[in-house]
Amino acid sequence: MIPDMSEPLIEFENVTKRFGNFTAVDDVSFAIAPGEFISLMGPSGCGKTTSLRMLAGLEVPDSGEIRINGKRMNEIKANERDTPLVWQSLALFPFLNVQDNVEFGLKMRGIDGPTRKKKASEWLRKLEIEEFAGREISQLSGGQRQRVALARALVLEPEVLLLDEPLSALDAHLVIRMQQVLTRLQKELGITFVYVTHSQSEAFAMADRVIIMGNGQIAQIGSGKDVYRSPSNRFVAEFVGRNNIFSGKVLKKNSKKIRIKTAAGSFDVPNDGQTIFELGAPLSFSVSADFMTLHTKLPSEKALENLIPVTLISEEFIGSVVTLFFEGPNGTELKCQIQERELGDVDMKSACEFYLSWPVSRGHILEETL
Amino acid sequence: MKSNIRDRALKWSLWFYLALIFIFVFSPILASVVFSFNSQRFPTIPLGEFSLEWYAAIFADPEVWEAAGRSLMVSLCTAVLATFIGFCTAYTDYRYNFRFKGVFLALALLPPTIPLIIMALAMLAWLSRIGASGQVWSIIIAHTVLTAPFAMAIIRLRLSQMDESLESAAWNLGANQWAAMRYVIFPFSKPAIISALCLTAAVSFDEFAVAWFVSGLNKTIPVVILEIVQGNIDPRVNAIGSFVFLTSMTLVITAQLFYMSKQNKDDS
Repeated sequence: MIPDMSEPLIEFENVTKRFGNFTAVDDVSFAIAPGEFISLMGPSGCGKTTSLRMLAGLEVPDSGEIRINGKRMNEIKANERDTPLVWQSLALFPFLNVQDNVEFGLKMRGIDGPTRKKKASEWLRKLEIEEFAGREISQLSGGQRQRVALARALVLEPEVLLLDEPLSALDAHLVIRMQQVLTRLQKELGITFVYVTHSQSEAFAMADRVIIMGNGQIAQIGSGKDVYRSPSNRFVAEFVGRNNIFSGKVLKKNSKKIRIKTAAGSFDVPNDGQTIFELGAPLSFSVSADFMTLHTKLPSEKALENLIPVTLISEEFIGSVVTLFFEGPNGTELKCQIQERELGDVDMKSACEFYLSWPVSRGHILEETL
Repeated sequence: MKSNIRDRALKWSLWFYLALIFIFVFSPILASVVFSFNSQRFPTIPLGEFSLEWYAAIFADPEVWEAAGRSLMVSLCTAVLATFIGFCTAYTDYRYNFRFKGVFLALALLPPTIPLIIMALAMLAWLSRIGASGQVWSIIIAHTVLTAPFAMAIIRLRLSQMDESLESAAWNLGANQWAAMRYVIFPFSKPAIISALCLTAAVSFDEFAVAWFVSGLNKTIPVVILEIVQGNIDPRVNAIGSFVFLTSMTLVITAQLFYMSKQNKDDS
């Protein structure tokens, strides 16, 4: 799904930001359409928060240009922009009550008292916290504070709302609840959300498109499904989901398949014909852990071409899904994700040999750029 | 069972030790307060009758009134100036990083580490050189130098407890630097600022050495006390002393209360 980019709301053009010798954001370019829910995702130190802070005017790019509605923003001060931010720490003012916190931005914009009060009440009502208007911040629960922080930013009725890991301090069940609140708000208001997170479940649950960053650069932009099923490089494949990554050299190829020789054996991947690979050229591919099939004895079917003998290392049980960790030939690490109820049919204790297999079509070629 | 008894013995002996320390610290002051209400001229036991004559004597003495008024004014002005300077120094430290920041901080915190007599002499030499000694405002200048580091330390501690994003959040919501200072930094630091005002006022109100050197004819209360003591044994000293002690303690305790109540509230 490619949104209409004829008139983007936000544009980064070759933006670079350095802190001393450390390049936090390295020649980054992307565009965000009006009304999109965008998630900037990546491990800590990847440059996602710095990008967000540059958008809010809290950091100034060393080079490149940031535009909002086509207007160059580099020299515009933070307090002259209309880019409210929901902070990771929430940064609510502890010396003001809920009502005054929400009114703060309006007050700074010189809006008169009665109007401020009316607007703040309206947003407190929309976020279902009007009953706490007179409370001190210290008297609120985590979820209520979250809503106050959202109301304080949204009361300015901006075109874009910036969110910096706002759910990271909440309990797991509240995170799901707040995700629904955020998604609903974004759809209702039609405001562009730029949401920074390191959590792929948050990003995939809410965002229309995900921008994955690594080492200050953009690793991939796409829908959650795109980056999950079709990672474009090794970095994304390692960061997103549970992928098995194989590196090797092209052994032979035809119009349908490419055979790759790796340390764990030789395997086939589909040849999509888009990229031409020379024989002997280095090539990596990934197979998502949930596409792996587990066998406890050597399967007889000839059809299973991609087959690896493995030994079980450990298992990780998270509710209905179990991830099994294996070691293949030459110390290759492999993962297989299956339903817990399916695992019940397999006798893990007595089985001494395991095999993993996957259909050729599930192999996904990675560009070797990052 | 045995260890229980030992624990209890330890607990009581520690309480006893604590009580001894407080007796040691406060008995001279208490004695002074008691003797200030004693009718006898010399501080001896057994005590005479309860009497307010020494208080009557100091209240009747215009010199004491004048000195008290002067002390009050000096301590008020000192508190405001020292707290303002302390706040600016603390905020500079909180907000900016620059070369030689360590040197800047060391210099800012230096004055209280200088022996008072040296400080007083230096102040007198310097102020008289520039023709500013012997005035009420000479004492204010000297006391401001002396107490600003206390104000800075208190406010700096408070700022260090502030969420770093708070000021940025104000900018993000449309506040310029001054508005963020007025609506965020200042209200957040308010308990510390009030503490600093009380504490610097108390220190200035009590301070003798520097005041004695630079005040000239403009005596403050501590200077008057010393002059009375130098002349002879006079129970009026106990009366003034009790009054000064009460004033300072009120200020110091107010400072503490302000600071503690705010912190508890933030922690909850």
